[in-house]
Amino acid sequence: MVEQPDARPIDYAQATPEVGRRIMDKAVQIVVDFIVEFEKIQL
Amino acid sequence: MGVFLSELTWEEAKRAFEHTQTVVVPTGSTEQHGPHMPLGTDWMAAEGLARLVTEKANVITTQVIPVGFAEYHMDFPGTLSVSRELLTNYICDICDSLVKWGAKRFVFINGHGGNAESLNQVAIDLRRRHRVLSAIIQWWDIVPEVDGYPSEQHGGYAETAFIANLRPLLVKRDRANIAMAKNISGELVVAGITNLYFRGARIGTFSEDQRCFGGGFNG
Repeated sequence: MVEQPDARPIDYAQATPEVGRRIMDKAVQIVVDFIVEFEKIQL
Repeated sequence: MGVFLSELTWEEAKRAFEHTQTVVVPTGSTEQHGPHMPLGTDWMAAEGLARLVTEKANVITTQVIPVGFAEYHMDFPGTLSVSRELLTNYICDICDSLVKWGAKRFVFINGHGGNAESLNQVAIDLRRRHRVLSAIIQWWDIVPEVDGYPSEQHGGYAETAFIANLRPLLVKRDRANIAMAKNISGELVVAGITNLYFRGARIGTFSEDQRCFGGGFNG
Protein backbone atom coordinates (compact mmCIF):
# COMPACT_ATOMS: atom_id res chain seq x y z
CA MET A 1 0.00 0.00 0.00
CA VAL A 2 1.18 3.47 -0.78
CA GLU A 3 -0.46 6.76 -0.21
CA GLN A 4 -1.87 8.42 -3.29
CA PRO A 5 0.78 10.69 -4.77
CA ASP A 6 -1.61 13.63 -4.98
CA ALA A 7 -3.46 13.03 -1.72
CA ARG A 8 -2.76 14.03 1.85
CA PRO A 9 -4.28 12.43 4.92
CA ILE A 10 -7.83 13.59 5.41
CA ASP A 11 -8.90 15.00 8.75
CA TYR A 12 -12.51 13.81 8.65
CA ALA A 13 -13.22 15.31 12.05
CA GLN A 14 -13.09 18.69 10.33
CA ALA A 15 -15.52 17.66 7.57
CA THR A 16 -18.42 19.18 9.49
CA PRO A 17 -21.92 20.25 8.46
CA GLU A 18 -20.73 23.84 8.68
CA VAL A 19 -18.06 23.17 6.05
CA GLY A 20 -20.71 21.49 3.94
CA ARG A 21 -22.99 24.49 4.32
CA ARG A 22 -20.18 26.74 3.07
CA ILE A 23 -19.74 24.55 -0.02
CA MET A 24 -23.48 24.45 -0.63
CA ASP A 25 -23.96 28.21 -0.26
CA LYS A 26 -21.23 28.90 -2.79
CA ALA A 27 -22.52 26.27 -5.22
CA VAL A 28 -26.12 27.46 -4.98
CA GLN A 29 -25.22 31.09 -5.63
CA ILE A 30 -23.09 30.25 -8.65
CA VAL A 31 -25.77 28.00 -10.16
CA VAL A 32 -28.48 30.62 -9.58
CA ASP A 33 -26.34 33.36 -11.13
CA PHE A 34 -25.39 31.06 -14.00
CA ILE A 35 -29.03 30.32 -14.82
CA VAL A 36 -29.72 34.05 -15.25
CA GLU A 37 -26.90 34.29 -17.80
CA PHE A 38 -27.77 30.96 -19.39
CA GLU A 39 -31.26 32.26 -20.17
CA LYS A 40 -29.75 35.13 -22.12
CA ILE A 41 -28.10 32.79 -24.63
CA GLN A 42 -30.03 32.65 -27.88
CA LEU A 43 -31.41 29.25 -28.75
CA MET B 1 -38.66 31.09 -6.91
CA GLY B 2 -39.12 27.88 -8.89
CA VAL B 3 -41.36 24.85 -8.59
CA PHE B 4 -40.98 21.11 -8.30
CA LEU B 5 -42.67 19.35 -11.18
CA SER B 6 -43.86 16.36 -9.20
CA GLU B 7 -45.63 18.60 -6.69
CA LEU B 8 -47.78 20.27 -9.38
CA THR B 9 -51.11 19.30 -10.89
CA TRP B 10 -51.19 19.18 -14.69
CA GLU B 11 -52.95 22.55 -14.74
CA GLU B 12 -50.26 24.06 -12.54
CA ALA B 13 -47.60 22.49 -14.73
CA LYS B 14 -49.14 24.08 -17.81
CA ARG B 15 -48.99 27.48 -16.15
CA ALA B 16 -45.46 26.89 -14.88
CA PHE B 17 -44.16 26.25 -18.40
CA GLU B 18 -45.81 29.51 -19.50
CA HIS B 19 -43.65 31.34 -16.99
CA THR B 20 -40.32 29.58 -17.48
CA GLN B 21 -38.78 27.26 -20.02
CA THR B 22 -35.74 26.37 -17.92
CA VAL B 23 -35.80 22.93 -16.34
CA VAL B 24 -33.41 21.61 -13.71
CA VAL B 25 -32.78 17.86 -13.79
CA PRO B 26 -30.75 16.49 -10.85
CA THR B 27 -28.87 13.26 -11.57
CA GLY B 28 -27.08 11.02 -9.12
CA SER B 29 -26.04 7.50 -8.30
CA THR B 30 -26.55 4.78 -5.72
CA GLU B 31 -23.09 3.45 -4.97
CA GLN B 32 -20.56 2.85 -2.26
CA HIS B 33 -18.90 5.90 -0.73
CA GLY B 34 -16.63 4.22 1.76
CA PRO B 35 -17.65 2.84 5.16
CA HIS B 36 -18.75 6.24 6.46
CA MET B 37 -21.12 7.55 3.80
CA PRO B 38 -24.54 6.40 2.54
CA LEU B 39 -25.01 4.70 -0.80
CA GLY B 40 -27.28 7.56 -1.84
CA THR B 41 -24.59 10.21 -1.40
CA ASP B 42 -24.51 11.32 -5.04
CA TRP B 43 -28.22 11.64 -5.58
CA MET B 44 -28.66 13.27 -2.17
CA ALA B 45 -26.05 15.86 -3.10
CA ALA B 46 -27.63 16.58 -6.50
CA GLU B 47 -31.13 16.73 -5.06
CA GLY B 48 -30.06 18.92 -2.15
CA LEU B 49 -28.34 21.42 -4.42
CA ALA B 50 -31.25 21.41 -6.88
CA ARG B 51 -33.73 22.01 -4.07
CA LEU B 52 -31.92 25.12 -2.84
CA VAL B 53 -31.43 26.40 -6.40
CA THR B 54 -35.17 25.98 -6.99
CA GLU B 55 -35.90 28.16 -3.97
CA LYS B 56 -33.95 31.02 -5.58
CA ALA B 57 -34.31 30.63 -9.35
CA ASN B 58 -37.28 30.73 -11.71
CA VAL B 59 -37.03 27.11 -12.85
CA ILE B 60 -39.02 23.90 -12.98
CA THR B 61 -37.17 21.08 -11.24
CA THR B 62 -37.78 17.40 -11.85
CA GLN B 63 -37.29 14.50 -9.49
CA VAL B 64 -33.73 13.33 -9.07
CA ILE B 65 -32.55 10.43 -11.23
CA PRO B 66 -31.13 8.22 -8.46
CA VAL B 67 -29.22 5.51 -10.36
CA GLY B 68 -26.47 6.10 -12.88
CA PHE B 69 -23.50 4.37 -14.45
CA ALA B 70 -21.46 2.97 -11.55
CA GLU B 71 -20.15 -0.31 -12.92
CA TYR B 72 -16.72 0.25 -11.38
CA HIS B 73 -18.22 0.27 -7.87
CA MET B 74 -20.02 -3.06 -8.28
CA ASP B 75 -17.58 -4.88 -5.99
CA PHE B 76 -19.37 -3.21 -3.08
CA PRO B 77 -22.74 -4.50 -1.80
CA GLY B 78 -25.71 -2.25 -2.38
CA THR B 79 -24.29 -0.44 -5.39
CA LEU B 80 -26.70 -0.10 -8.33
CA SER B 81 -25.68 0.55 -11.91
CA VAL B 82 -27.29 0.93 -15.30
CA SER B 83 -25.52 0.95 -18.64
CA ARG B 84 -24.45 4.23 -20.19
CA GLU B 85 -26.73 3.56 -23.15
CA LEU B 86 -29.77 3.03 -20.94
CA LEU B 87 -28.99 6.08 -18.84
CA THR B 88 -28.53 8.25 -21.93
CA ASN B 89 -31.77 7.05 -23.51
CA TYR B 90 -33.71 7.34 -20.25
CA ILE B 91 -32.67 10.96 -19.69
CA CYS B 92 -33.28 11.77 -23.37
CA ASP B 93 -36.81 10.39 -23.17
CA ILE B 94 -37.56 12.39 -20.02
CA CYS B 95 -36.26 15.54 -21.69
CA ASP B 96 -38.28 14.82 -24.83
CA SER B 97 -41.38 14.87 -22.62
CA LEU B 98 -40.30 18.14 -21.06
CA VAL B 99 -39.67 19.70 -24.47
CA LYS B 100 -43.20 18.74 -25.45
CA TRP B 101 -44.50 20.81 -22.52
CA GLY B 102 -42.30 23.79 -23.30
CA ALA B 103 -38.77 23.27 -21.96
CA LYS B 104 -36.11 25.10 -23.95
CA ARG B 105 -33.16 25.03 -21.57
CA PHE B 106 -31.94 22.21 -19.37
CA VAL B 107 -29.66 22.51 -16.37
CA PHE B 108 -28.41 19.09 -15.31
CA ILE B 109 -27.17 19.18 -11.72
CA ASN B 110 -25.03 16.07 -11.68
CA GLY B 111 -23.85 14.42 -8.48
CA HIS B 112 -21.91 11.54 -10.03
CA GLY B 113 -18.94 11.76 -12.37
CA GLY B 114 -19.85 8.45 -14.03
CA ASN B 115 -22.94 10.12 -15.50
CA ALA B 116 -21.00 12.83 -17.30
CA GLU B 117 -20.49 10.94 -20.54
CA SER B 118 -24.21 10.18 -20.82
CA LEU B 119 -25.15 13.77 -20.01
CA ASN B 120 -22.79 15.08 -22.68
CA GLN B 121 -24.46 12.78 -25.18
CA VAL B 122 -27.91 13.90 -24.00
CA ALA B 123 -26.95 17.55 -24.45
CA ILE B 124 -25.72 16.91 -28.00
CA ASP B 125 -28.77 14.87 -28.89
CA LEU B 126 -31.26 17.39 -27.49
CA ARG B 127 -29.56 20.21 -29.34
CA ARG B 128 -29.56 18.30 -32.61
CA ARG B 129 -33.17 17.19 -32.41
CA HIS B 130 -34.89 20.11 -30.61
CA ARG B 131 -32.45 23.07 -30.82
CA VAL B 132 -32.64 23.40 -27.02
CA LEU B 133 -29.67 24.27 -24.82
CA SER B 134 -28.22 22.21 -21.99
CA ALA B 135 -25.77 22.94 -19.19
CA ILE B 136 -24.11 20.28 -17.06
CA ILE B 137 -23.12 21.42 -13.57
CA GLN B 138 -21.19 19.44 -10.95
CA TRP B 139 -20.71 20.89 -7.48
CA TRP B 140 -17.08 19.76 -7.27
CA ASP B 141 -16.30 21.74 -10.42
CA ILE B 142 -17.86 24.86 -8.89
CA VAL B 143 -15.94 24.45 -5.63
CA PRO B 144 -12.89 22.46 -6.76
CA GLU B 145 -11.03 22.67 -3.47
CA VAL B 146 -12.15 22.89 0.16
CA ASP B 147 -9.69 23.59 2.96
CA GLY B 148 -6.87 22.28 0.77
CA TYR B 149 -8.59 19.04 -0.26
CA PRO B 150 -9.70 18.39 -3.85
CA SER B 151 -13.48 18.27 -3.92
CA GLU B 152 -13.61 15.46 -6.46
CA GLN B 153 -12.19 12.94 -3.97
CA HIS B 154 -14.70 10.11 -3.76
CA GLY B 155 -15.88 9.90 -0.15
CA GLY B 156 -13.29 12.54 0.70
CA TYR B 157 -13.31 15.64 2.86
CA ALA B 158 -15.54 17.88 0.77
CA GLU B 159 -18.09 15.22 -0.11
CA THR B 160 -18.28 14.08 3.50
CA ALA B 161 -18.89 17.65 4.64
CA PHE B 162 -21.43 18.18 1.87
CA ILE B 163 -23.51 15.20 3.02
CA ALA B 164 -22.93 15.99 6.70
CA ASN B 165 -24.74 19.26 6.00
CA LEU B 166 -27.62 17.63 4.13
CA ARG B 167 -28.04 14.39 6.08
CA PRO B 168 -25.99 14.64 9.29
CA LEU B 169 -27.34 11.42 10.78
CA LEU B 170 -26.17 9.36 7.78
CA VAL B 171 -22.47 10.26 8.04
CA LYS B 172 -20.38 7.97 10.23
CA ARG B 173 -17.23 10.03 10.55
CA ASP B 174 -15.74 7.60 13.07
CA ARG B 175 -15.70 4.95 10.29
CA ALA B 176 -13.72 7.14 7.90
CA ASN B 177 -10.00 6.80 7.52
CA ILE B 178 -7.19 7.96 5.31
CA ALA B 179 -7.40 7.28 1.58
CA MET B 180 -4.75 4.75 0.68
CA ALA B 181 -4.08 3.33 -2.75
CA LYS B 182 -2.44 0.08 -3.72
CA ASN B 183 0.76 -0.24 -5.66
CA ILE B 184 0.20 -2.34 -8.77
CA SER B 185 3.92 -2.80 -9.24
CA GLY B 186 7.11 -1.05 -8.30
CA GLU B 187 6.49 1.78 -10.71
CA LEU B 188 2.71 1.71 -11.27
CA VAL B 189 0.82 3.61 -8.58
CA VAL B 190 -2.95 3.91 -8.49
CA ALA B 191 -4.25 7.47 -8.75
CA GLY B 192 -7.94 6.60 -9.19
CA ILE B 193 -10.15 4.15 -11.01
CA THR B 194 -9.34 5.79 -14.33
CA ASN B 195 -5.76 6.86 -13.71
CA LEU B 196 -2.42 5.62 -12.48
CA TYR B 197 1.00 7.14 -12.11
CA PHE B 198 4.08 5.94 -13.94
CA ARG B 199 7.29 7.76 -13.01
CA GLY B 200 5.22 10.74 -11.94
CA ALA B 201 3.17 10.90 -15.15
CA ARG B 202 -0.60 10.44 -14.95
CA ILE B 203 -1.75 7.72 -17.35
CA GLY B 204 -5.38 6.97 -18.22
CA THR B 205 -6.54 3.42 -17.46
CA PHE B 206 -9.45 1.65 -15.79
CA SER B 207 -9.95 -0.76 -12.92
CA GLU B 208 -12.69 -1.55 -10.42
CA ASP B 209 -12.16 0.46 -7.28
CA GLN B 210 -12.00 -2.60 -5.00
CA ARG B 211 -8.74 -3.45 -6.78
CA CYS B 212 -7.48 0.08 -6.34
CA PHE B 213 -8.71 0.98 -2.89
CA GLY B 214 -9.67 -1.28 -0.05
CA GLY B 215 -12.41 0.65 1.66
CA GLY B 216 -14.10 2.56 -1.12
CA PHE B 217 -12.22 5.85 -1.01
CA ASN B 218 -10.49 7.20 -4.03
CA GLY B 219 -9.41 10.47 -5.47
